Order: sequence, then C-alpha cells, then structure tokens
Amino acid sequence: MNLDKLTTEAKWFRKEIFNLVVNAKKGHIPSCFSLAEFLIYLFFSNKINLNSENITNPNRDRIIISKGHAAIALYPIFCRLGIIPEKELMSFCGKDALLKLYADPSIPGIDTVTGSLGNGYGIAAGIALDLKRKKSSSKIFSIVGDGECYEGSIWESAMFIGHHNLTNLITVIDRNKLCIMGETESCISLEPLDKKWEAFGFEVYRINGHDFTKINNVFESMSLEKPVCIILDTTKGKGISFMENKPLWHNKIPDGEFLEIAKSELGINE
Amino acid sequence: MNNELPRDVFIETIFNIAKSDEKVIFMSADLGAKALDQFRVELPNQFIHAGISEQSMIDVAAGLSMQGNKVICYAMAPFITSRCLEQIKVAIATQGLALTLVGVGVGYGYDNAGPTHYATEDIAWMSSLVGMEIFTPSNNKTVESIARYCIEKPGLRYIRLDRKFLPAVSMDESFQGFSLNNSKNDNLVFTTGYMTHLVAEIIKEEKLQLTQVDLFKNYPLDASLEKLIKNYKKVITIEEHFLSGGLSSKITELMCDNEILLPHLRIGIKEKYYFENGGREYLHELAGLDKVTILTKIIMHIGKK
Repeated sequence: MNLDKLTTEAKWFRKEIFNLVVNAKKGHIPSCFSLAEFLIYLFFSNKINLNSENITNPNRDRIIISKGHAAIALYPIFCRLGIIPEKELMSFCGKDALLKLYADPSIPGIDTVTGSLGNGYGIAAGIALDLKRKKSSSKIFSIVGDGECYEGSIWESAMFIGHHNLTNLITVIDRNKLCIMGETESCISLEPLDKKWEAFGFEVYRINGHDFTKINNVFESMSLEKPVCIILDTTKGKGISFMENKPLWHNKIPDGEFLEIAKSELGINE
Repeated sequence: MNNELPRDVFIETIFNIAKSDEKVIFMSADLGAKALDQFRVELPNQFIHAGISEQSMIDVAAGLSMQGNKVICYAMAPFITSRCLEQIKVAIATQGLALTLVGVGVGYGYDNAGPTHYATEDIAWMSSLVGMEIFTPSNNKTVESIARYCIEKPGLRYIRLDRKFLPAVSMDESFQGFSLNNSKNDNLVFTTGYMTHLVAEIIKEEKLQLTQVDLFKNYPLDASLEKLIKNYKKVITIEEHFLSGGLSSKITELMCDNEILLPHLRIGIKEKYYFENGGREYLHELAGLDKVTILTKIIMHIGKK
C-alpha cells in the first residue's frame, strides 16, 4: 500500500466530486466524502478487478452502492479508469446526459438502479448467489448507508446472505451517523451495529473509515470463511469543515462564502 | 391433472422444464404445494426458500434475473404484490427485467382469513407497473399454457392462481388472452378465474342470452377484443376484485380508447374490507357477488330472458 499515493488520490476524489456537484448544482457531497478513503483504497490498491477492459466480462468484480444518492462517487473513478469517457463529467445531470443524479445501468460499470434505499443490497445478493452457483471467482462489493440499515429489506437480505454464506459479497456500511433529520442515535438508534451484523452470520470489522492503514489491515485479515461486513466509522462531509457532521448539508450546494471556504480546504484553484 | 390444484399444475409444468434447464430458479416466501415438495427434493439447486421476506426475495430475484436466470417468485397473492410492490417496481420493472410472480389465493380464496389475505386490489396494483402482464387462469389447462409461456418467453408476469381446484371450461380457447363460448346474441360478459365458473353456471341455469368471455389475460388486453366488443350491444364485467382498477376498468379503458359507446354493467366489489367469517359464498353475498344479485343485475341490464 502506497499511503502517499492514496492520500493524494483521496484529495483528487474530493475535488472531482465537489466540482461535479457544484457545477451541476445537484448531488450529495457529504455522502460521497465519507466514502472517499474506502473507494480510493478499493480502486487504487487493486482490490477490485474492474476496469475498462473487463467491464462487460461476466467474471469481473462489481460494486453496487446501495445508498444510491452516493453512487455518483463512482463517476470520477470510472472516468479515470476509462470505463466512462472523461467528457461525460461535464454534462452531469444535464438534458439526456449519460451521468445522472442517481446511477442506472445505462452507465458503464453500474449494475443496477439504486436510489430507493434497501434494494441495491438484495440485488447484490442475487448476483452473488448466481456467481457462486457458476463457481465464478468474482467478488461483489455492496456499500450500504447506515441510514439505509433502517430498511427492513436490508436485514432480510443480510439473513439471506448469511444463510447462503455468500462470501463473494463484501458488505460495507458507511457509518457516518447521520440521516437527513439528524443523528441516527437520536432519531432511532442503530447501535450496536457490529453485534447486529455478527448475529446475522457475518465476519465483522469495524474501523475508522478514513484510515487507509486500517482499511488495508481489514483486507489483509479477511478470512472469507463467512461473509464479511466492514463497518466504516466515517464523518459525513469529511474534508470540508463546515459540512462535517452537519445534516443540513446532505444535499445542499455551497455558494458564496461557503464555496470559497470549501475550495480553499479542498485545495481547488491552488 | 383433473382434480389438481392450480398451483400444483403450475409448479409441475415448471418442474418438468427446469429438469433440463438449470437457469430455471423457483423461489418461495414460505408458501408450499405438493408439487413444490417434489421440486425442492429433486432440484435442490434450483429451489430457494427466501424466508417470509417478500421484499428481499424480489431484490434477490432481480440479481438472479440480471444474470440470465429464469426466476419464479411464489407466495400468497397479497404478499407477492402489495408487500413488495416497490421492489417489483424499482428492482424489476424499471430495469426491464424478466420475472414471473405467482400469487395464490386471489379474490376471497383465503376465505375466513380476512382482508390481510384477500387479493381484491392486486390487478390494480400490478397493472400500474410498466411492462407487466397479468393472467388469471380459470382452469388447469390454461394454468399449464401460462406456465410454459412464462419460461419460453421471459417477461414480467403476474399469475393469479385460485387457491382451490377449478374445473375445466367448455369454451374455445385461443392463447390471445381470452376464451369464448359460442352463443350468438347481443350481450357480452367478461369474467376471469373463479367468477368464470360462477357466471357460466348462472348463464346455463337461467338460459341467459349472453356470450361469455373468460378473460384470462387481464392486462394488457388483447387488441382483438376491440373488434369483438363492436359485435355486441351491451357489455357486462363481473369480477371478484374492487371495481376500481380491475377487469371493469381495463374493459372501460379499451372501450374509451376505441370510441366504443356501449352500456356497460360493472359488477365487482364495492371498496370495503370484510372481516366476517362464513366462507367465500357468504363473502360474495356481502359483497354483492352472489348468484341472485348477479342474476338480478344482469336481467336489469339486458332485459328479460
């Protein structure tokens, strides 16, 4: 693992997402920022076998961001990998643009419609079951929001994945502790999340989701005897001080003074 | 096949195809059947118990369908429809995926169980989904044809099966979505499933001048019905479903779209939830679907015999 490189790429990622959303005045910056380190680690440490060459190969690895409002996090990464033409970023959310506010399978690299919470994860389970039946070595990463864990269908699918021991499906929980109306623990408490996932038959890792070394340690120690669930303790909006842990910024687009502060903190136009 | 339950005929047909096609996968949300016992023993890799988890079942089925499998999801009719309507819309319909949904116990099939178990709004719910085809077979021969069709021509389908055995019907059958009896007269009545038999009995007993259509394809309606309806002067629809969004709505829409202005008597369930016990016939009395009420309404509509 090259820590300096990954740190640089995470900065690049945040700039890309910020520019994408601010240009279109649409999108969810904080929900993407909480995933920055994990996604960068996954794609830039070669932990996911998904690239422009194998994008239609049935034996590719897959990623399904079940918390669909953050699926746009894949756009800059897919462009960088040559899966999506770079120019498409410019027309994000425009008339008939390829890259939409919520991702769908018309976009290369996107396997399913998401956006309605609780669906993508079960769909990932169905794909994983099929890959297992076909004895494929492909993996599938499914990123579930912590707020998404309020959906009953998440736990229905977790039971299914645990029962069928779908070790080719790696569950990643973005535990950023916020839903739209406030802190999850003061709305309806989700904890103890790690014990809940363990009880459903998962090998659970709970780490600081912004720490590359800790993420790397998980990948080094996964036994894959049971389905893995990685709970990433994250900060929603990580990287822009006024957005961090503030529910208000869930889908708010910064302007004026806020825009300048954000740009300065992200190192845009430096 | 004569006295078999519709669900057994459906599953046996699927089973016989599945034996030589490992892409056929049957999922159940804990609804059993005699034929399913054989299926799960002989083809364990093609049977999935989804748990009593209809929502997850549909999402998992979407993933399996995306991967090229021919998936059947099976549960009691109210639970395979409204309980997971959003999953069917999002995971299946919006992505144009193929999936066969089989609901057992349509109408008041689970009599005495109350509105939780009745499927009297399911045509309305399911026909609101883009690409959905809905079938209610009235006899085992049609059940078998539909089961074959679901596997041979994959698409998004909802198959409404009666809970009980339904006898054969004596009608000309075409696989265009309706069967027709042969009488020549001015009046046309559309029925489906269980009600096809009840109304056929009334027509026979009372020697009514009525042409009966067993509309086993409920949605979308076959375009040739336009031509058929134009040969008649009065139309009747009789259904064990809420009037809103069911068979009568579909026929009304077809007539409206084709500028067919004919008197149309709609017999169905007024929007009400019945908790009363006493069996299906008694529920039909409460809901105005009993033979006497139906006969009276028909005679008022078409005139004396």
